[in-house]
Amino acid sequence: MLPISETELNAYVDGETFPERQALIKAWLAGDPAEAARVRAWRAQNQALRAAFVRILAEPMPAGLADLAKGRPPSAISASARPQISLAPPAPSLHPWDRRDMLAALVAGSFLAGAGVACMAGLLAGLR
Amino acid sequence: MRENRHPAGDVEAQIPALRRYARGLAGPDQAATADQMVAEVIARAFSGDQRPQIGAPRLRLFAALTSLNRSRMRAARVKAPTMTPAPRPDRPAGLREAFAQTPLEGREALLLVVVEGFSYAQAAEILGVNRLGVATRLARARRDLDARLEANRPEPAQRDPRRPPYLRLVK
Repeated sequence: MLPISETELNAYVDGETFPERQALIKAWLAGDPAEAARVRAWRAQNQALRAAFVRILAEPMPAGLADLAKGRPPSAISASARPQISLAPPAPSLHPWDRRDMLAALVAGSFLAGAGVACMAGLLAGLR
Repeated sequence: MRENRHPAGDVEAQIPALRRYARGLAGPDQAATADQMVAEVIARAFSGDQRPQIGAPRLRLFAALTSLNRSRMRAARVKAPTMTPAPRPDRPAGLREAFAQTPLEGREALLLVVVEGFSYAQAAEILGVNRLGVATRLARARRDLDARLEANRPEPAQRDPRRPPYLRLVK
């Protein structure tokens, strides 16, 4: 019998194989304890994953999300949203010359100007 | 004028599952980020200025969340090279920690198929791949998860509390 591919074995674990292949895979696993153990481990892992995430469904929903889903206007959302949830999309920098950039440019500019003056002074002193 | 593409009830019913998916994508201790992503996806679902989309509303919402998280991860990768926190040293890493360390592609597939119960065909539509692509990602993710769980497993010596004290390693 041809060996079953790892991909098909995964599909088998997820119940995604065709019925006629299912019987074949089952028979193949019966003759291969190592692969059968792997399939059992994956099934247990599936259950553990579901169990690890199931409690999130029961968590209380942040008010902002429920309002949004009901199609309420954004003003009502921001008023009732929990403080840590910002519903505004990340604001892109509107203009490249925001305050911080201006300050950086100012500092860099004055530094360059100072260096230039010092250079010129040095040069003039050297020429004398 | 707002155009409601989704009946409000449809979207609201999906929120708990969307939050769960977002939490699995964002990782442990990232609940606020996860909820923020869900909020953005819902807001976009109701906004009229969206490209016309195909597929069932439920799949559309999960697809939107998937792509939003991918762009968030891309943006975050520029700033910080690693997203997943290192496993805490005080306790052995379990399935949740191993899962959080699994690459994003694998986590997406596992969350959609195993946790949310989507079929391979549905997961394929959400992820923008074919059924085989979903199966391949799942296979890789499970292999990865197995390897991590194996690597994180404490040494038998550490696991056995009945080990006589005179056999302990002196540091």
